[in-house]
Amino acid sequence: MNPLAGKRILVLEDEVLLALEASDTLEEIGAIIVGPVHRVEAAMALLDSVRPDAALLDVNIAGDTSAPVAQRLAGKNIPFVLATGYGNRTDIAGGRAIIDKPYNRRQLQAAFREMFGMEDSLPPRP
Amino acid sequence: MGLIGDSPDTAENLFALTDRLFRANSLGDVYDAALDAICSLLGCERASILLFDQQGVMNFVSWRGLSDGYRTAVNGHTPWVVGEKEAEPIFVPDIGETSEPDWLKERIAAEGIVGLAFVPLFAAGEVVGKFMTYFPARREFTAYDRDCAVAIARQVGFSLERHRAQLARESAEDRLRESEERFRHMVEDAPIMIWISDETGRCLHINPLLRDFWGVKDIATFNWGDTMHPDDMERVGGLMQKAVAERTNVRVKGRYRRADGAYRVLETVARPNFGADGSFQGMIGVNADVTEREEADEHKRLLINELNHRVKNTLAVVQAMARQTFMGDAPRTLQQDSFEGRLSALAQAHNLLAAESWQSASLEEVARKSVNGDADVRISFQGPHVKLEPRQAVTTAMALHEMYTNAVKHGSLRDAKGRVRLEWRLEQSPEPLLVMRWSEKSPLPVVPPTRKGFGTTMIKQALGAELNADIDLDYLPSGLVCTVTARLPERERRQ
Repeated sequence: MNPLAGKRILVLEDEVLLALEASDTLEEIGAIIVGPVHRVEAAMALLDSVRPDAALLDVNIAGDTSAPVAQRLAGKNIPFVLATGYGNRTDIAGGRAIIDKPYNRRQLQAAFREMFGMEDSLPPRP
Repeated sequence: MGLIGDSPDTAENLFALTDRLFRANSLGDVYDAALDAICSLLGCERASILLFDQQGVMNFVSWRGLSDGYRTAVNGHTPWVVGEKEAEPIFVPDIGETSEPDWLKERIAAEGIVGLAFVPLFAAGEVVGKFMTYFPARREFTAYDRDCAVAIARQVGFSLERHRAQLARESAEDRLRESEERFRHMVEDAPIMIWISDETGRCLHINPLLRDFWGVKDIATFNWGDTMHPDDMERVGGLMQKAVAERTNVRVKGRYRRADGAYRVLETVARPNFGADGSFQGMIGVNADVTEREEADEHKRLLINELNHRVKNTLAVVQAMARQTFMGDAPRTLQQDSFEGRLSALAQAHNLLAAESWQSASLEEVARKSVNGDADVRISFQGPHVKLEPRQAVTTAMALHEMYTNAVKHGSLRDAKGRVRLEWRLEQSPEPLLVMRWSEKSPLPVVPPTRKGFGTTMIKQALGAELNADIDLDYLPSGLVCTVTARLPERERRQ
C-alpha cells in the first residue's frame, strides 16, 4: 500500500510555479497538500490550525530562511524535507533530508517515500 | 742624538704642546697650540695649518703673520693628495731656487718669504693636511728642524684623529637619535595600531591610534582583555597566552570594543620581543581594523549564495515550465515555439531587474517587454508608475506573456485590427489595491478555450499567489477580459 496515501503535506515554497509543481508532484502519489504557502508567516499561521503529517520546506523564502518553520515542525515531531539551491545547508537541516534544487519529480517523491517508508521501522530522527 | 736631550727648551716646548693638546676643547685650541709650538721650536714668526676639505682642497684653517692676499693666492697648493700614506716633509731653503712657476715664486717673495717647509699631517695613517713654516731669509734646515717638525706633526695628527673620531661618534649618535626620532614618528603616526607588552601580556606601550581606539587614559591600569568581545575571549586570549608561553609568532582576529562602544574586528599580528641578552621581554604587535574587509567578505559570500539560490530557482522554474509545456499533445514544433517564447519572457524580466540592480522593475516596462513588438501598435498601456519587486515582476511578465500569446493564437490579436488595452490604477478601498485589467477588442468573435494549460496556471494561480490577487478571467465574444485585483503590501506602494 502507498505509505503516502492521505498524508497531509505542507508545502512552503516562495516561487509560486515551483510550489504548484511540487504540490502537483506530491498529489500524484496520493498526498493531500496543505497550502501551498509562499511566505514564512503564512506557514506559521497555517500551523496554528493544521497539523500536517510532513512538510516540504524551501530553505530560502523571500530573503529569509524557513528555519522558524523547521523549528516549529521539529518541536511537534513533524518530519520534513528541505529543498535548497544553496548547496549544503546542514546548519538548519539538523540531519534531515535535503534535496538540491532543481530537483525532479522522482527525486521529490522518493524523498517522501523514504520518509514514510522508514518511519515504520526506525525511531524518529533526533 | 736625542731630540729632547738637545735643549731643555725643546723638551719644555714639546711638553707644553702635548699638555695643551691634551686639554684642547676645540680644534681652535689644537691649532693655537700647534702654531705656538711650530714658532718656538723652529724659530719662526710665521706659520700656518692647512687641511683638506670635503672636496679634497687644501685650505688654510689657522695661521700667523700671513696676508689675506697671500693666503687667497696660494690656497689649495699642496704637494700631496687626500689619502696619501707615504708623505715626507719638504724643506725649501730658498723658494727662488726651486722650479715652481714664476707667479708663485713672485707671490711668495712679495709676502717676504724666502725659506719654507711643508710638513704633512697624518690622521689614521693618511695625509689630512699640512703645516707650513715660513722664514724671511734663506734657511738651511737641520736634522733637528726635521725632528721637531715631525714631532709636532705627529702630535697634531693624533689630536686631529681624536677630534675626527669624536665627530664621527657624535654624527653616529645624531644619526641614531634621528633614526629613533623618525621611528618614533612612524609609530606615532602609523595608520595601524602598535603595541608592546611585557612578558605577562600586559601592555607597556601603545601608539596613539591604539590609545584612541581603546580610549586608554592610564596604560598602567589598562587591561586589553576587558575590551574583548566575551564570545572571542576564550579563543583570542588562549592564542595570545600560548604565544607568550611558547614565545612564538601569533596571528589572530577578534572583536574588540572601541572607545565609542562599537565592536570592531581587529587582526593582530605579534611576535616575541627579545632583549639584547636574548631574554624574553614580552610581545610586540600590530592590530589592523579589518571590520570593513570582513564585512565586504561577508557581503560577497552572501551575494554568491544569493546568486546560487537565484540560479537554482530559475533553473527549477525553467524545468517546471518545460515539463508543463511539453506535457500536452500539441505538435512538437508548437510546443517548442511556446517554450522559447516563455524562456524569452523570463529572460526579458531578468534584464529589466538586472538594470535596477535586482531591486525592482516598473510595471509598465515589464508589460511592454512582455508583448514582443506589439506595444503601442495593437496594445495600449495606461496607468500610474508602479514598482514591482523582483519576484512579482518575473511572475507578472510571464503571466502577461501568456495572455499575449493566447491573444495572438486565439483572441483579439489573431486579426491585424484586433486591439488590447492594458490599464491599471491604485485604489484605497480601504486596503491599498492595484487593479489591473487586460481587455481584448476583437473584430472577429472569440471562442472561449476548452482546456486549461500552462497559461491558465500561470495567470490564475501563479500571478494570483504572487500578487496576492483575485484573478477574474472573463471570456467574452470580443476576447478575454482579465482583471487582477492585487493587495499589495505596504512596501510596494510607497514608490
